Amino acid sequence: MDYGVLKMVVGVIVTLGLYSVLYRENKFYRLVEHIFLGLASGFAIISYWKETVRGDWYDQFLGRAGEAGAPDQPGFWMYGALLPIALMGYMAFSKKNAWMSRIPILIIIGLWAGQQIEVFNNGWIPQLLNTMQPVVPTTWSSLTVPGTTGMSPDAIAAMGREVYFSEALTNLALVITFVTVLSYFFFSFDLKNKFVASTNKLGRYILMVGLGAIFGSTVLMRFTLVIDRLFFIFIEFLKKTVFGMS
Amino acid sequence: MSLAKKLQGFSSHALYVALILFAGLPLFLKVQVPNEPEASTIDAFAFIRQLPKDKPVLIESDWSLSTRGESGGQFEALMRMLMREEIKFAFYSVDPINIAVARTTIGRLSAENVKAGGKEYKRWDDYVDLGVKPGLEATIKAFDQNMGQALATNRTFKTDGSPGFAKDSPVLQNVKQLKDFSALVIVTGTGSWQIVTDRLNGKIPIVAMLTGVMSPEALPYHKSGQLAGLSGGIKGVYDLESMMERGLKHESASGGDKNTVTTNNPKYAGQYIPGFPGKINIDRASAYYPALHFALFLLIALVVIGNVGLLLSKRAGGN
Repeated sequence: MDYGVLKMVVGVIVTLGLYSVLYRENKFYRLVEHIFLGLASGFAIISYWKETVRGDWYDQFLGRAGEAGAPDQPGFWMYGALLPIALMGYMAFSKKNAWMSRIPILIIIGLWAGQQIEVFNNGWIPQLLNTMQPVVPTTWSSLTVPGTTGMSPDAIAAMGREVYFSEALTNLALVITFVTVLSYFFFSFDLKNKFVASTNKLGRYILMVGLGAIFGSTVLMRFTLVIDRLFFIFIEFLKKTVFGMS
Repeated sequence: MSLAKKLQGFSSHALYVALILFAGLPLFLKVQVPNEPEASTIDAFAFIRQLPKDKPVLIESDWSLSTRGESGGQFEALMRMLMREEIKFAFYSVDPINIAVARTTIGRLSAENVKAGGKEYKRWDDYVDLGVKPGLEATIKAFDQNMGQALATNRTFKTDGSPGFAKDSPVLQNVKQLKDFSALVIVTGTGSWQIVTDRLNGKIPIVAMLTGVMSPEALPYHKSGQLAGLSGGIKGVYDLESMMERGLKHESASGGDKNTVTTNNPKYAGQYIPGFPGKINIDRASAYYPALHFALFLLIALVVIGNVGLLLSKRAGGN
């Protein structure tokens, strides 16, 4: 049997094995699940060694003989200082010395926390600035953005600088959404003021709409995953490989 | 059993069979779903199609077979565009399985490109495999601070399989800093796009190709200009495939035909960006998208049926 076909047959068997749990819990499903876990773990260990640890640490630490005429690569012994820090992570398995496992975690958290100012600046500031949108139209020549067919790029650019009523309305919706959703997160004081209480309530409803949209997207994604597996079995395997149809 | 109980009491096995039929059978049909591409995907397509040929692209390929339905289509669309325009690239993954999937897919698409009369994409000469980069926060920081040094110690494989350093590849000869790449394109089924964007915003143009779950969260990043383009979920792939087949033009531009995708975004005023007619453009998403609609129809119908059953049982005084 051709290697490509063999791979497909194995893929189909494994896919059916994993989906067999939908009928009921069974040994075939468990077997496939364990094969998957074993393969993934074994593959990851070898891959991390070959692609990351060896090149990024081991060879840097001990050096490496030149290959194919390339000069030798000297070792940098300071890389060795990383080893005890890394090994401390495994102290989590020792009841007595488990505290040591917190040291590498602290280092990672420290590095991560140190990046957060930059992350806030890069991630959120542009979005906060983007909420400052014009909410008053600059032209009433048309309620919506008119068509540009036949216009020159300069005329289109000039038109793009105007704020039409429909754009102002969209911007207003953005600003209202932003403010009301933020007001929903006033947790630290009692909302006695009627205006704040009502914006808080509106913010909650808008959040629900947003969460609904995200949930809808999640359902779409899950369906796409199922469709992909069905495509693999019905089209790639049965139609193209078994029956040889295009 | 009353009608109300029957409507609410479909067995899960019957539902699974219905789902397989509704999602599986349309795969055999050639149905075209009317489509108007999203503004964010138009930006992604236009940006990739207008990339300069003299600078390489940096790609994060961070998906595996679990999100092949969406990420696979996006990666294939990206690779086809780059290979047809002979744009060189370097790629990395965060996860060891993801890099294996990317390598296989690039090999397959290179063979497809050759079959279509295009260039064979050779490792080392045309693209560089930067390998697995766990700890993305640190990797991105290293790329940002000293790309040349990061590449100088990055081992990779040459065309003949022998080892070498990424910096010695013809692809990366002129790359000393991150900005020497023309763009960073992230194809991911994880939240890694946010780690990258939050650290590299403004330092290199970023295009994100995400799964449907993540795309609503990423839309503000596109609207604020942090992402130069965004393709989200299977709809994003369908949009890309449509534009690769039919091209894109501003409504004021000449060129193209009545099937060409039209935009009224002023930044494309007067522009016509051709697709790749006669090549494999309509692929995975064009098969999945109609099937998805059938599956969604089933879902909506079942939700309605269940709620009618609930209403009937409430009227009858049941719980």
